[in-house]
Amino acid sequence: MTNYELNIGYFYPELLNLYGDRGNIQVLTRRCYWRGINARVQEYSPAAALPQESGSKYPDIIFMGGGPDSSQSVVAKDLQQRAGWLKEYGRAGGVGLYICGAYQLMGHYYQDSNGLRLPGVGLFDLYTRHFGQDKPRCIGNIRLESNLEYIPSTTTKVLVGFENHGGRTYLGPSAQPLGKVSSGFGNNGEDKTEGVIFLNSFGTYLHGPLLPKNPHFADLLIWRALKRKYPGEYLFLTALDDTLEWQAHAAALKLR
Amino acid sequence: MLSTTSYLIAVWLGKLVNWFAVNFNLGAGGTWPGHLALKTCPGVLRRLEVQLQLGSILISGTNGKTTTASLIENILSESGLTVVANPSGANLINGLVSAFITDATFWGRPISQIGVFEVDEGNLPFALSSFTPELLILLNLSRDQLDRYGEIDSTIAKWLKAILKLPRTTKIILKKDDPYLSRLAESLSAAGFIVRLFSKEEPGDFTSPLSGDFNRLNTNAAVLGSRQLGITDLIIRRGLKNFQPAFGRGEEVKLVSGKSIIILLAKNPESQNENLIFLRSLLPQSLSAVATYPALLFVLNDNIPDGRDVSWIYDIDFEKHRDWLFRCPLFISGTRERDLTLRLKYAGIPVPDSTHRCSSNLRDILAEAIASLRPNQKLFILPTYSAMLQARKILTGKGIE
Repeated sequence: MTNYELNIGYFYPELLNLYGDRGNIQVLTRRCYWRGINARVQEYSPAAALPQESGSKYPDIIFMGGGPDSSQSVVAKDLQQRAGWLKEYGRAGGVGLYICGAYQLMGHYYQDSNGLRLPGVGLFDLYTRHFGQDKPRCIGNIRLESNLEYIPSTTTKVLVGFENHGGRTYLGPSAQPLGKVSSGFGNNGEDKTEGVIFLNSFGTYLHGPLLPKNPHFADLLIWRALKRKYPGEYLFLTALDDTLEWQAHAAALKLR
Repeated sequence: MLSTTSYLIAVWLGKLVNWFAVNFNLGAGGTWPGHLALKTCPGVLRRLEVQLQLGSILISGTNGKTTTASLIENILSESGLTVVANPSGANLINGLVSAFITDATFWGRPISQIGVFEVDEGNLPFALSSFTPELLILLNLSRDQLDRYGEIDSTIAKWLKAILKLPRTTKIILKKDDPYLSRLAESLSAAGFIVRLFSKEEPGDFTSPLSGDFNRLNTNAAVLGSRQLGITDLIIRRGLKNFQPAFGRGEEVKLVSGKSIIILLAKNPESQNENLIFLRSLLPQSLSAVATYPALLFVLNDNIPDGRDVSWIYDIDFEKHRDWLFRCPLFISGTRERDLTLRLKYAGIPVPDSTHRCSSNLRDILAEAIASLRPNQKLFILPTYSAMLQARKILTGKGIE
């Protein structure tokens, strides 16, 4: 697979970096490296210029994490300038993983406990509300049964992680959840949904970070990005020794 | 009258529980007396605190509380004062009350003249509702135990709200150029507080009794704090000179065999990164000396005192230290041993292999690590908080509590 390359666009690494989410980038790049795929990480800070679709730097995978409230408002402001670009990227089937704060901001809006609304990008049909002191934060280990086809198809559909969010997310009628919660809170602690899927864009509250202990999900992102970048080519994903990854995954299944 | 009765009952109950804890080695002497006393008389802390002749000093922040508090305690003792302080780690309200009750007379009067307390960052606002400290030292604030306290911004907001209720006579010491504390410093100065700042360089001229940049900061905070209390530089220097490191913070355990083990607490990315920088600075310069590289035992637990969320291990800069780290014999343990092993794999450090071992059984792997030591080779244990207590217990045959 030595002739393949992927551009990973890492948005707001300095601002959205609260829960070890940069581990997701490490997993994507390492798993590409082990397969001889040349993965390049391009970081985007607020106001940084975004590449043209025809350009060599156009991302094949976008990653955005979660941050503290103060960073979140800076990011929300910057995202308003990029909403069109990001929506176009997502609607064209661009691969993206949006965690926690980024997940919330890719929806229609985020409403804080004072009723103040931060407008979102609007890629996902969902909104998020924070109820202040009325409802406790959703914190703890979480497991869910995901709505995805992995490679190989015999792979477990379970995803494991840790969630820690004050906001509660409600999916709109056209939104498909990432999965059904079997243990934990998920989007809002009420309807058992967790995360969202829109074409190749994924939003979720799972950090931990998400990808190290869910290698099937990491490979799904890499696979979909390759298929998009090299259409019509005969592609396969080299199998890796994931013994340790699955042991950590199995250990997480037992966590309270 | 009634309040005095419940106050005395609270003190006696606390003393009784403490007596049992000490005499029967129950291992909860640091917190249970205070817990029960608070249940009996919620105002017990304020009442004890106002009786302190010279008032109290509170130290909070994510990293360095224990070391800074111990440094100040040592300096104050050097100046001839009697000091009441909470033992390392017992830094929630119940720990503070326990320390007071152990110190107090039968009639509930503190024997010591001054109090030095480390306070958990999430508990600080609550502590300030009972305390009117002479001096408040805020060391830093970083991503630690987010699963317990939510986000840093909300912690800062709660701190500010609680501090603004204090009289302006409370002196405040903060770390300079800290992204979160700088904003707090501005707000507090604007509100009329006298705020003083410390950094790695200021106040200089004092030799830190402990190595590493982080201890330089702790030392400077302690020096600035002591000066605010009117302690002379001569006494400060003497206090620093005869200082002994606190449990698990660079403490050295000598085994009967003559082998030496050093414990460096690693409870969040910042403290672990400081540990790695410190360890790198100890390495022999020539590559032929690889045989004397220290053995390292990482222990990652996810018990309540450690935080249930272990995501933070991905914020440790293992990648930056890969070139020397993989040459050290590595041992991995703890309740989340698989997670840490996986983390090292993604940093490019394979475990297990010929010299790298892992097991969730701390006792076994500690024995294996000690047995593997060559003459002159040291073992460093880098544990999370509860793992530090376990490791000490295994090594010394008893816990610190």
